Amino acid sequence: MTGVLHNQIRLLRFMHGEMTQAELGERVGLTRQTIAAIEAGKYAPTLSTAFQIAAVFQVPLEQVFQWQPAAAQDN
Amino acid sequence: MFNFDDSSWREKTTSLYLLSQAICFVPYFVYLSLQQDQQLPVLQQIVGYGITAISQLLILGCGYLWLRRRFADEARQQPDERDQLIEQQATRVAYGVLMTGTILVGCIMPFSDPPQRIFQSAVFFLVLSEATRNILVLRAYRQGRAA
Repeated sequence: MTGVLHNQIRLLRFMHGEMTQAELGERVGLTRQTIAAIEAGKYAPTLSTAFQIAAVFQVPLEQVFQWQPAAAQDN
Repeated sequence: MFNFDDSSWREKTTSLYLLSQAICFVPYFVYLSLQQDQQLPVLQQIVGYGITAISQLLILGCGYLWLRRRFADEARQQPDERDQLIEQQATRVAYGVLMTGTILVGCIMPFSDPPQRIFQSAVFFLVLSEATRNILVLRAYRQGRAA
C-alpha cells in the first residue's frame, strides 16, 4: 500500500524556540542534512528515530508524523 | 542550486573521491586507448599505473586535509542512518559492477585476450565500480533522499 508520510517538524521546531535543524539533529543523532530531508518528505526515518524526534518535542508520534494513503490523496 | 558548503560531510568527501578519479584515471585510460595497437613494456605499464595511483592518493590526501580544516565540526560527525543507507545501496550496485568485471576479466578474457589487456581491464572495472558507487552516493544526496 503506497502513501505519503507528512510531518510537522518545521512547525514544531518553530514552536520550540525556533530550534534549528542542526540542534534537532544533534539531539536525535542525525545530521542537519538528514533533518532537512525528513522535513521535505524525501526521507522516511526509522521508527526509533521518529520516536526520538517526537520525544524532543514532547508530543505523541502522530502529532509529528502523519501517514496519508495514496487513495486518500486523490480525494 | 547546489551549494558545496551546505552539503553533508559525506557528500563533500565523495565529491573529492570522484574528482580525484576523474583527474587521474580519465587521462590514464585515454592514454592506454591511444596505445592500444602497441605492446607496451610491462615496466612502462606498471610505472604508468603507479604514477596514476600515487597522484590520486596525493589529491585525496591534500583534499581531505583541506576539507577537515575547513569543515572541522562536520568531520567529527558520525554517519547517521540515512548516510549508512545511502552507502549500503550504492555499494550494492557497485558490487554488481565489480562482479561483472571480475567474471569478464577472470573467466572470459584469459581465453581470448593478451595479459596487457586483462590487466588494463581489471583496473578499469575496479575504477568503474568505485566511480559507480560515488556517483550513486552523490545522486542520492543531491536528490535529498536515501535511495
